[in-house]
Amino acid sequence: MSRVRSTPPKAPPVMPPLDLQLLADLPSLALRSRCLVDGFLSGRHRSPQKGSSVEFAEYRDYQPGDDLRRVDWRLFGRSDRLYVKQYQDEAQLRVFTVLDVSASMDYTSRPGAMNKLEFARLALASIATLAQRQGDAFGFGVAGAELVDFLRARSSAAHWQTFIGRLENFLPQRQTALARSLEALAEILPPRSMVVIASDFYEELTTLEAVLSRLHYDGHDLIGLQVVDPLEADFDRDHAGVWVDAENGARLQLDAPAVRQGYLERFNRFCRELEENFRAVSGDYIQLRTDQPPVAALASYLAKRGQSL
Amino acid sequence: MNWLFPGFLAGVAIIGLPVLLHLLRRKPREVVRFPSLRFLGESALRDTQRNRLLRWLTLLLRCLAIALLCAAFARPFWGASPAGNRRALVIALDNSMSQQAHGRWDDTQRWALSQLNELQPGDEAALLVMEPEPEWIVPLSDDLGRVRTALAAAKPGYDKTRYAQPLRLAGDALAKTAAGTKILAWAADEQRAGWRGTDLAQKLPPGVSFRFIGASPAPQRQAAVISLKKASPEKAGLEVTIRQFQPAADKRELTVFAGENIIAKETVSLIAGDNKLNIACVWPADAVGLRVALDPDDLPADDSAWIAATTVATNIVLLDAPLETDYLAHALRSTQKLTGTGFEPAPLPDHAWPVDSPVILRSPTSFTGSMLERLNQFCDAGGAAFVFVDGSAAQTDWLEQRGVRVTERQPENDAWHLRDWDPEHPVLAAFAGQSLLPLLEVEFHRGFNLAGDTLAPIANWPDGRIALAEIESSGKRLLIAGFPPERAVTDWMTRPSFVPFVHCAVRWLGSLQDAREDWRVGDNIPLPDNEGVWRALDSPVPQKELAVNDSVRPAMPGLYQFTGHNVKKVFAVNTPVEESDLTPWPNPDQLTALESSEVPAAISRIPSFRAEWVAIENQQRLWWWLLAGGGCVLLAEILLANRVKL
Repeated sequence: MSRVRSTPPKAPPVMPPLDLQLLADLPSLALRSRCLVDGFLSGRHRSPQKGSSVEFAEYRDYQPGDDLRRVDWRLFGRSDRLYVKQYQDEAQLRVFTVLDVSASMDYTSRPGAMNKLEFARLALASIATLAQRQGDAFGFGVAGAELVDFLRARSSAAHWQTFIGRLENFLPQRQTALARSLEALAEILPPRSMVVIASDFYEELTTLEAVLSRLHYDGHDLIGLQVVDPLEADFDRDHAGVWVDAENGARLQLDAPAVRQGYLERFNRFCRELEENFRAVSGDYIQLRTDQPPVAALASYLAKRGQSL
Repeated sequence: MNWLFPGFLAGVAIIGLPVLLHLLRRKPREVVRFPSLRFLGESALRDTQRNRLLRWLTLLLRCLAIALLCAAFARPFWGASPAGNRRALVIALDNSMSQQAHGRWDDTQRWALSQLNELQPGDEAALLVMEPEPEWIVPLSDDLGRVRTALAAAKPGYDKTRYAQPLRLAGDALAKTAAGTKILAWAADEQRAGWRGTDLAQKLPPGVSFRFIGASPAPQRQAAVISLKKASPEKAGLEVTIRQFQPAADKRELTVFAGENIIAKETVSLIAGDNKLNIACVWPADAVGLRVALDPDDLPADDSAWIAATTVATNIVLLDAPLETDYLAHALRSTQKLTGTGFEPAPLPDHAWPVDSPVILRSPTSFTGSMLERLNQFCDAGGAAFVFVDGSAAQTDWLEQRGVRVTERQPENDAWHLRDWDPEHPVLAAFAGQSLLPLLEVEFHRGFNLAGDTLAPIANWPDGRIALAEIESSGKRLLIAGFPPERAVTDWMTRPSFVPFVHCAVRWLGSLQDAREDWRVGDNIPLPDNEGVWRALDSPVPQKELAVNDSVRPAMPGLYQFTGHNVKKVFAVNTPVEESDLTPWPNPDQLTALESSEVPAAISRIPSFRAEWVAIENQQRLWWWLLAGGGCVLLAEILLANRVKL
């Protein structure tokens, strides 16, 4: 039996700039994510949203218990076999978002702006909002020293409220093990889900590569959202003083301008290797700067969703 | 190191500016929290430390550039210390024989060294030894160590003391130096004989202070063997003259040696003054000379004397008939007042001229007829002649046959003076170490130019043509003067330089047959051949053989042998008689008065110092190197500063 697949959505058009500071000033994550998604979707020529005008997706064999109203009687007349029509809105996607709550995520170089953790929350909440509007099921896992929380995928509006409410409450943890948390998540994820990981991925890349391979083997589609602060990406601060590692508390007497070139070389090499790890498992890698709206994450989600269905 | 414009050195204070800016530089001390230091780590720490080092290096280069530029503008130079503070010391060291007297040399050296030790680094010193001729062992320089070494190595000799020339030489050298303090350290025993003839009224140059040791203590016991002669043929043995100085009467042991063998020994009683003694001894047949020695006293150097075993030859000089007053005969007779070296003038004989007597020819008739035959015969036999050119045809032909061309000089209104005197020539031995001014002052109104390949010039006319020359080959000697000894031609015969010149000239001409017995240290001894070997047979200190030419000037007494091509001759050389007299100069106040009371003109001195500094600085050009260095450092600083995160 052949499967008829819908045409994947086209790449989103250029978005008008979103005021990230305005988003940050909004009182709740729910509001922020809705604004972001609405802003993202406004101006698109065709909404991926199915709504009531559902489109035919494919035929499948009739199974006992199927609604007889869905049987295509014309086809029965031509082929003398029972087929049931299946529509697009019935092709539901499970999206699991993974939030890294390590201490390194609790950082912003710009006072008053969202830190990396808040930014990651916003990105993942926006994806959940978009998924909910698409009728997809969405859940989350929180990566700390271990998998500290897990929410099963649902698509209801009530579930969205739960998702936003629980996601908002996690505080950064000093000890984190992203790879171990993903291993734990892989054990409980239903097959062929979309896994969106929002983290800075300050992890041993070889360990991470192994767990990503495992997820890919299990049929999951992977999207890596590397959340970086502008200072991490540019290292353009004229600081000479004691630099303290947010995760392990290590201290170094450094002269920032003197070490900038070496830092950028090593940081960019790390990002390239991380991207290669995701590409190796057919995943997407997106670097999100906390000074720019995370619309690329939403676009990537939509693109990936189109490929998955 | 000194500076031409030291005011620019104040600019070094600008160094404080970069140092201040460096210290006041913004130094953030804040604690910066950062997500992860995994991308910084050790290399970042290394970069930070390297940057800190580079920052200090940049500061150092800035300071260095400022210092170099300031130093360049201040125009540094090495050497001359500020002249006003600098001292110049000339040590005039009396190394005559009298310094061998007991204890004198040690005292003199010690005193000279003490003078040297008073100097500071940057001061100048020089060492001038007086004998046999004043000689700068170390010229004025700031190398005090070299002067000290030369002073320690100096030894007293056997020559006589002459203070006049070294005194003026040292004074002139100090007058030329730019030092603020000029000292002449007179390291001498102030022997009376040394100061004799010195014009003590002539002061030293202004600013030169004269320091001297003072009179040395008189010797307790001093006598000298001043003359040795063979006794007359009637008496066997030696005639010994001993001059007794101290004490007034003494008994001494006198020994006669033939080589190492003692052939006579006597105890002699001496009284103050000259004591002529006849010592009976048999001259050994194989002895080439004898040595007579007294037992040592306070000055052992003059307690020995030598005599050579030579045959007594003639001292007769043959002269042709004079045209007017016989100035040459008078000059020769006057030499008889000298001990043992006088000559006796005699007319040319009618028969063959004796070869062992020098001949002086002045008359045209000497070159014609039978006289010409005898002259040629005389010359062919090896005779030596002194020819005064008169321009006669016969004489001109005779000279031309011997390769000498004679042309008369054009008379001029002004008198001529001879120039280009060869002071090394034996005929000028009387003027050796002395001024040649008496010779340069002689006037000539008529003369002849001499020319020829065989001529060796001794003096020239003002236009450079030869006026006085010699021809010498194979032991034959011919001395030619391009003028006649006539009063209308020259005034030389009336001048004091004439007699010493004639004496030396005749002595040189007759040196083939010279029988003089008592040569003295410092004498210029004419030799019987134009080249040979001079060897000491017996002397206080062993000496090396010397290759010599026309003459030799021994520096030590002893018995010497000259070996030429066809001749071998023994010479006895003894110490200078006057040097044995150790009596000091009676009036030391006169020596103190040598210092000039004139104050050196300070105003005129400063520009000369300045000019000297500028000259030294221009010669060294250190500023250029400093400027170039400063530029390079500045360039390096710019390059480094662009790479350093300040």
